[in-house]
Amino acid sequence: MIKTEAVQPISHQLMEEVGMSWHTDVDGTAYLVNELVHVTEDEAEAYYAAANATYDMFIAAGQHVIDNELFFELDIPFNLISQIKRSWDNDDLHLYGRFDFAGGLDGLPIKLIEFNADTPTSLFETAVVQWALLKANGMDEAHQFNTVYEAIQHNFRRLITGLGDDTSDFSTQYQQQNILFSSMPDLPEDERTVKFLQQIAADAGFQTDFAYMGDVAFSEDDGIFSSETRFDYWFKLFPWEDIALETDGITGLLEDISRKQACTLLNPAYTLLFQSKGMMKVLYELFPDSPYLLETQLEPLPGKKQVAKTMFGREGANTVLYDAMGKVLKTIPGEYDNYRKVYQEFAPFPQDEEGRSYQAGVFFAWEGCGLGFRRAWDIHDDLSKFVSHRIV
Amino acid sequence: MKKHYIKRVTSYSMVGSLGFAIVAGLQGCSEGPLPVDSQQNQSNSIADAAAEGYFMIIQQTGMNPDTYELKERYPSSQGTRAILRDMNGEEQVLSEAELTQLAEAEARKLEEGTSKLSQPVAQNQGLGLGEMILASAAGALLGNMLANRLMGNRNFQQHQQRTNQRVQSSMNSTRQPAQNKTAKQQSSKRSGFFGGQGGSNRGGGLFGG
Repeated sequence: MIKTEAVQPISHQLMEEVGMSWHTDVDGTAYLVNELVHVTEDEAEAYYAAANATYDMFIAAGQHVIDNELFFELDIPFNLISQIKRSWDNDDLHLYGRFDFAGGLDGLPIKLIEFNADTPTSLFETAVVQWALLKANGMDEAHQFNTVYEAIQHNFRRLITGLGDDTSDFSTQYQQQNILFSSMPDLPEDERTVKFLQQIAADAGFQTDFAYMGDVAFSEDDGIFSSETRFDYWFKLFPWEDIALETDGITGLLEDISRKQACTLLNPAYTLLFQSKGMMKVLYELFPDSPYLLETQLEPLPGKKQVAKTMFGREGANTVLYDAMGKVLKTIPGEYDNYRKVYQEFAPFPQDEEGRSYQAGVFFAWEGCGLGFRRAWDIHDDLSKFVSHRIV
Repeated sequence: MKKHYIKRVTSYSMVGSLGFAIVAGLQGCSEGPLPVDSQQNQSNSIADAAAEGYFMIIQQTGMNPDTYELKERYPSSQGTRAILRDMNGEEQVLSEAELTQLAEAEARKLEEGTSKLSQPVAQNQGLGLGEMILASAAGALLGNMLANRLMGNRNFQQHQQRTNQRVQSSMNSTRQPAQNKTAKQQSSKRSGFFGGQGGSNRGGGLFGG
C-alpha cells in the first residue's frame, strides 16, 4: 500500500513565475499533488535499470522492424518510412523519451506500459517542480531520482561530440551550430516544455532560438529557418504521425531536407517506431522472457485481464479495460480510433488506501535519468495528477 | 551496487537558471516572472542576458578568514544576482544592489592596493566575499569602463582568469546566431504550415504523451 507524505505546497504564484501555469486542471483540482511518494534506493535503482534494459530492447526491436519492413504492423505512415530509415542509419540522436511503467513499488514487478519516445511531456514537473518541492520543504535535494536536466544537457552536447559517454570535448568541437525550438501557440504546457529544453541547450553552450510551428520556414535546399536565420537542428514538440497527416506538402519538404541533410530534426523520425504501441507486440515476440514486458498482441488475449489501446493514442485516450472474461470495465473515449488496436495484458499498479493507482514515468536521455508518478483511479489519462517522490 | 541516479553533488545546475528563480522565490525575493516564460517572442533573451548580467552561485569554502568560491554562473536578463551558500548549507539571496556595493568597495581597495586581488595569485588561496564577487562580475556590476581599468592590474587579471577557469559555466560561446547562417537570397522558403488545432482538458498541452 502506497503511503504518501504530505508536504508544504509551492505557491501558485511561484509556479507561475517559473512558467508552470498548468498547476490546476479544468475541474479546479490541483494537478500537482502536495504529497511525496516514498521510494527506497533499491526501488529507484530498479526503475533506472528497467529503463536502461528496456531501451536496449527498443533498439534491437527497431532494427528488427526496419530489417523486416514491419512498418504496416506498427501503423507507420508510408510517407515517413524513408525519413525513419535515414534517421536510423544516420544514428540521429534521440534527445529524450519517457517510459511509463506499472509496478516498481510495494514489491510489484516493473512492467512496461508504453514508451513516449517522440513528444513526451511531464518533463518540467519531473525535472524542476518535484525538485523545488524538496527545496521548499527543507529536504535534501539529492534524495530524488532526478538528473533529468544534466542528462539532457549532456545529450545536447552529444550532437557535437558524437555518441559516446564523454561530452567534455564539447567546447573545443563546437562551431556555432544552432538549434531552433518550436511548439504550437496557445498551449502553455507544450511551450514551457520546449522552452525548458531550449534553456538546457543554451546552458549546454548552444546558440538557440524559439519560433512557433507556424512561423518556421522550410527550404528544400537550404533547410529550416526562423527570421532569416538557418538552423542546424530543429526540435519540434509535434508528433511525427500528425506531420504525416498534413496535406500541405510539409512531409515532402521535410523528406527533402532530411535527404539533403540540410537540418537534423529532434526527436528523430525513428522515434515514431518506439512511440507506436505496435512495438509492444514486437518486443514481446523478440523478448518473451523479459521481466519488463507484458504480453501484447493485435488480437484480444483469451482469458486475461487486458487493456486495448490504439497505436498512437495519447494520454490514455481510446483505451478500454477488459476483465478476464472480456467484459468492459472502463472505457476512455478519444480521437485516435482511426488507428489499429493492440491488446496488452493488464499489470497491477501500486495503490494507496483510497484505491488510486500510481504509474511511474521514467525519463530516458542516454540513460534512465528521472522518476515521477502519475496518480489516477484506473486508467492514467490527461486528468491524472503528478506526484513527486523522495528517496528514503 | 553502484548508485547511478543520485546526484554526485547537490547543485543548482540540475535545473539551470530556474534553480535560482525558485530559491529566490521560496525566500520571498522574487522579482517577477522569468523572461523565458512571460515573453512570447524572447528569441534574443539569452544573448541579451549575457550582456546584462549574471546569476551566480557562491559557496563559502572556509571560515576565519571567510573564503568563497564561485560555483556556477549563468547569463541573466534580470541584472546580476547571487545565491550565497554558507558552510552549513544555509542559502541567502544577494541582490544586485548588495553585490554592487561589495564590488565597489573591493574595487576601491584594489585601486588602493589593499585588496588581495592586487596581490599575485597564491597556491590554495581563498578569496573573501567582495574579492570573489569583483573577480566574478566586475563588468556586469561596475560597468565596462571601470572593469577595463581594473583589468590594467595584472594580478587582478590573473585572479579573474583563475575564477573563470574554475566555475561551471555555460558561457563558452556567443549566443547570437552566426551571420553566415542566414539564407541565400535565392533560397525559396515556405512557412505557415501547422495550422489550427483543438484543445485538451488541462488547457495546457495537446501533443505530449
